[in-house]
This record gives sequence, C-alpha cells and structure tokens, in this order.
Amino acid sequence: MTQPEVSKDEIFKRLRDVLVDGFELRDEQLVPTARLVEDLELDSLDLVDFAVRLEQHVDLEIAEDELKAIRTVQDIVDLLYQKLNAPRS
Amino acid sequence: MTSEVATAAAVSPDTTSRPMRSSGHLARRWRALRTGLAFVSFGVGAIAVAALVGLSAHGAPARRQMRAQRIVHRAFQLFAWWMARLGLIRTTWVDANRLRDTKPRLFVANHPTLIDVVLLLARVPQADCIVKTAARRNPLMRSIVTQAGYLANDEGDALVDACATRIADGRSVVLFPEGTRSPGGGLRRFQRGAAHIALKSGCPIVPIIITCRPPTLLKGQRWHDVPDRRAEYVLRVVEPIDPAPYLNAETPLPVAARRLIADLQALYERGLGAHKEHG
Repeated sequence: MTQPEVSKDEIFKRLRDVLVDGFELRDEQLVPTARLVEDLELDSLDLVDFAVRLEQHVDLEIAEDELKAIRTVQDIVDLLYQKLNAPRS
Repeated sequence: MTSEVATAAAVSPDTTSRPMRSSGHLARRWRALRTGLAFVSFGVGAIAVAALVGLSAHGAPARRQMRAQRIVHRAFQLFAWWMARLGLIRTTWVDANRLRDTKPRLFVANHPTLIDVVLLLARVPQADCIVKTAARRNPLMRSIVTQAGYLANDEGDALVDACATRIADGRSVVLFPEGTRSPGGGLRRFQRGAAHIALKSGCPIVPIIITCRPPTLLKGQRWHDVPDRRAEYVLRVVEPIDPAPYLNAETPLPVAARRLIADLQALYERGLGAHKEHG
C-alpha cells in the first residue's frame, strides 16, 4: 500500500483558501460539517464557479454528478482525498 | 398622477358600534364580490389573450415574441384599469420616467402581492419575464408564456446566460429577486441571479420598490379575504445601479455578485423602512 501523498488536513486548508477568497466566507464558518447550500449559502451559480476554482487549485477534474453529490465541506475533502491519492494511470 | 397615499382612520374595535360593524361587514362582502369579479375577468381575459397571441403567432420568433408581449402589456393595462374602476386598487408611480430608456434594462422588484407583475407589465411595453415553473403547468398560461418568450426560473446558470443573451439582443428583463411573493410587509432574502445577470451583461439594474397598503393578495391568502378599503399601490423607480464598479480583476465573480445583491437588498430595506415611517 502506498503512502497517501496529500493529507486530509492539507486538503481542508487548501479548500478553505478557495472558499474564503472566492466567496467571502469567514474562517469560522468553514467547519467540516458546514453544508454548502444551507450553511454557507452557496447557490447553483456559486457551485459551478466553485468547481472551476477547485479544478484550477488542485488540478483535477470534477464531474457534474460528483459535484451534485457534495453536501458538506467534509464531502469535498473526502472526494478530493480520494481523487488526489488514487493511483494515476 | 397623484402621489398621496390614503391613510385609513384608525377605528378601535372597542368603540365600533354594532350597526357600524354590520355596515363594515356588508362593505367587505361587497368588496369580496368585486374582487371575485376581478378574478373572473382575469380568467376570461387570459383566454382572450391566449387566443390573440395564438392568432398573431407568425413570423420570426423575436418579432412574434414582441407582438405577444405587446398584447400582454395592453391586456394588463386594461386589467389594471378595471381593478381601479372596481375600486379595488389605486396605483401611483413615482419617478416612472426612469423606465423610459430605450436601452435594455434589468428591472427588479420586490413582490408583495399577486398582481405586481400586472402593474409592472402594464407600464413596460417590452420585458422578458422570468416566471415560476409552476406557471407553465396551466396550459393557458403556458401558451402565453411560451409565445411571449418568457423564461422559466428552474435552471440557475442557464437562466443567467439566457437573460444575458436577451439583454445583448436589446431586450429588457424583469425579475423578482425574492423568487416568490414577499412575506407580509417584509422582504425575503434576495437570490443572487439578478446580480449575476447584471454582472454578466453589464446591464444596469433598475430597482422598483412596490408597497401596497393595506396588504392584500398576499401569498397563501384566499382571494375573498379582502381588506376593508381600497389597496393603495405605490411603485417607486429608484436610480439605476451600474454593475461595472463591482467588477475588477481582484474581485472574484461570486464575491462581486454577493456585494451587488447585498447593496440591492439594503436599498430595498431602506426604501420599505422609509415608506413605513412616512406612511
């Protein structure tokens, strides 16, 4: 088994930067259980913009159905962790 | 056009005598009857409009839509006149000259009552409305809405693109940023679609602040639940907001949209608050 290259903590920090800079959110709002729509008030337009920013930040593509399945900050961390540490073909 | 707003004499229920109460009751029944007549007229009018729009549905889509919008405009003028004639409403526009711009505009309004869109479209000959998906379920409404080229509010980013395209084609757009009718006397949180449309198209937002006293035709209110006097509508057109200053290289688009919509919401809160103080 290979050692994960990027920890969940590291992903969370990067994600926090994207959300704070891109959406004027405050650090204290960004807890893992925060829901994107209900708690952070991201709307459908924000989610599209968010996906683009995230892709630029982590150099990964996020499919539309993956984006739709995301509810909380933790969901994104888990998704990115899985993608970043998946064996690349 | 007058600018005064009628204020009702405050009558304490304790001091109201029995005969007065019964005459008030009769007056309310009479008003409910006239309101019912207005609703029936609207239904009959909708059939006539659908027929007229159907008959005029020929030519290129843009021309067809303009023709349908013109028919809706005239029909709403007639309906607004009829409601005034029935003694149900009185409408006062303030600074309506701000609507008279040939360039496309993004008209936004709060949405206190059922007939806000009627009063707006009776004043604006051309405007692409954004209508609730529910309005398309009624076949009659669906045919008018489709022929007039009105847009459905179900697709967030696709709707922003569609509105920006309409504006680029020289057409004005009207929307209610609350998404549905306001709660009694208040304001819902504005959705950010209006800001995104303005930022994408560069089109100024023309805010229209609507007040209705006494409140009537509220969301969830039954049609026969009428006030004890004529509803006084005031539609105030505010100085347009240019979206350009919100956009710069350092500001991400979602942040610009948040700031623009926050300023718009604050403008409405101030406007409605000032109306309450002076009303």
